[in-house]
Amino acid sequence: METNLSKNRAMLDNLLAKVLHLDPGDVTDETSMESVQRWDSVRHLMLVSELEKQFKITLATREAVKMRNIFLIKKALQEHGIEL
Amino acid sequence: MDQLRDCERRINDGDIPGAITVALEALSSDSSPVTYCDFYDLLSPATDRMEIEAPKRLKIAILSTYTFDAMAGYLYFECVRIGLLPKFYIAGFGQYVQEIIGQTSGLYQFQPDLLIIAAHAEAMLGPVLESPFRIEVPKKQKIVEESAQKFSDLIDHFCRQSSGSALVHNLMTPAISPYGILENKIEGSPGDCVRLYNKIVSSRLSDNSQVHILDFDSWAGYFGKSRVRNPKMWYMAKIYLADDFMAFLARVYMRYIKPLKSLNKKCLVLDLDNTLWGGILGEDGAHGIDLDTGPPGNAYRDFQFFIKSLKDRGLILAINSRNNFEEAMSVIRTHPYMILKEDDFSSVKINWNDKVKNLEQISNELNIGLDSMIYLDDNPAERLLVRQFLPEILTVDLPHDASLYRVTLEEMTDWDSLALTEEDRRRPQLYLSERRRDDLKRSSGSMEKFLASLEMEVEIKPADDFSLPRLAQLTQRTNQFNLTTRRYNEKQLEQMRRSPLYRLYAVGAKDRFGDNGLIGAAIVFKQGAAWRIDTFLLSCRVIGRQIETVMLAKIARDARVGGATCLEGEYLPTAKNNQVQNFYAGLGFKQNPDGLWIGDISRLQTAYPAFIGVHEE
Repeated sequence: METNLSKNRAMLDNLLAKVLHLDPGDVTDETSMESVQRWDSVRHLMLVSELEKQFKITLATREAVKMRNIFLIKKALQEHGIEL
Repeated sequence: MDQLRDCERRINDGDIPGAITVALEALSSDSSPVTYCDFYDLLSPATDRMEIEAPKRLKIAILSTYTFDAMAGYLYFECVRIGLLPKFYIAGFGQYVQEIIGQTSGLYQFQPDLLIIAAHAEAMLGPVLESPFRIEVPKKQKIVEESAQKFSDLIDHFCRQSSGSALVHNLMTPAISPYGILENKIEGSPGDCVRLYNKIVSSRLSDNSQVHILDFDSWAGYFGKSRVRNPKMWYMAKIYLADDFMAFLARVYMRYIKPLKSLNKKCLVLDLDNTLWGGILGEDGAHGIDLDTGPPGNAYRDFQFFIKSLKDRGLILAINSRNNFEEAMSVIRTHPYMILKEDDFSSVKINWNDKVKNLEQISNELNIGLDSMIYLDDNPAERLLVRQFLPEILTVDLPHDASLYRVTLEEMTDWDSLALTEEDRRRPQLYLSERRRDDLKRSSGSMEKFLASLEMEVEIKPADDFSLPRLAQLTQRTNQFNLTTRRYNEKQLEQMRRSPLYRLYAVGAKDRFGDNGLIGAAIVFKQGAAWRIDTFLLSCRVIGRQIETVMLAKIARDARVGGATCLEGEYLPTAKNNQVQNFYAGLGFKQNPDGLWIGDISRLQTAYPAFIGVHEE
């Protein structure tokens, strides 16, 4: 049975695959703007937009600028009530 | 993702058209910025490397006062959809001044066909908009005037350095002003300042045919100013416009790009039932159809008003309808609320024949290519048929609700032109005269009798200020009787006209049925003993009347007087001009080993045909 948790994780995986072309198997909490070549400032903005759209949240600019790795992204999402 | 991989595979296989098809399919189901970015990043390096033939080539430079890189993705695919393969040059934001002023800047090295300049109000008017209450009105006015003049100087500078066209955004007036509801009550308000700036720039640049001012303010209004900006993107990365609006703006740009590349449509073919009026004439009778000032007929009447204004702009109209001819014509001629009249249509196919055949006949009669035609029909089955058999025609999906007909057409980007010439306004009338000539031809015994009875007069003289815009238009639009299909804009023709090495001929023709206006052009490059014919073209309206003979005879005469011993002609084949492949051969030119046609002046015909009265200068 699909839980919110697994649904959200799947959504995040798909999102990262779509925007950053990252294989879910390759993603860890440490995956960051520094470690992924494609993750430049342009892609980062798209990432922020897609996160807002898919999870139906609004990220403050301060939050958006800070989420430079997967750990921080998950943290921000959790702070918005998204189970991960 | 799979589509992305598929696209990449096709690129590696060298199948660019296939890769493009995959990309367009992917975008039609997912139009998010990520998808545009992914496919643009994949395709544009591949198309940049290609050797592209002139008709598909388009070099677009984008200069802006804000981050505008994403526009390349949207605009790339809008262009690709209509068969163009654009190359982009995007300078870093805020660099627009250096790029335009620098003699050897990247911009000029790129040699753009089109330069888009996107400036935003805050960049051009700074303190006037940031602290509107804190600056005295006279000082605000001075700031605005200086900024507007400086900007106009910059555009003038670009026009001197380059022959490309410039598409310049005007500034957007704020949707909600810091002045609140006093915006239109207090002098020197932010709106006032923006309007003054726009007014000055417009008056400085509107006479310059190389410049087109895009009414950004108006388009933003249409889209909805509340949706134009994305504050988060602005504060994070100086991206001024929301993604949705950029996608919309790219389509607005196509209104300029299509006529620039001669890809705008020339003819609108209309169905009658449930298109120009509601209901079916054959079933409801003339009194039962909906065409009125009240509902539901008012939507159709309004639709006709818009179509009429398209005709007034130079679009040719035709009818393709399954109806009894007399019954339908009676409505067109006598219905009190009919706006479009018999004379508005250059070709009328009202019969029980196959609609596809009708369209082919319209294309033949009017001598307009299928790819220059648009077809409007309310019936999805008919539209499917036409799409299948005549895919070159643009078949429009009219919405189910007639209230939306007018706006559907208004939002199309296929019939704008960059200038409105007298020729444009008279074009539909010219097609009408053409029908009368055809009738005469059919009733004359022979071609000679027909030509003689036309009482033709041809005027051939050097291009002047008056004829230059039309000549440019002719080089851009003429495809069939065009020996070299070189496209020129007014600026380029002006440069040639001023040079003693070039001669530009403007050819006009009239006959007893009317004045055809300027219908021919020739550009001759004088290289001492050999005069090279760079451009030689004739509007398809007047083919077959030996006007080309007059033109060449005139050129030969001038060449002889000018001391030349031969004329050189080129034939550059295209998909549409093979009717002129033997033009020079037929006039006694001989082809040399590298394909150039050489005509010995002492042997060329310099006499004019007897049945044409020629006025030359």
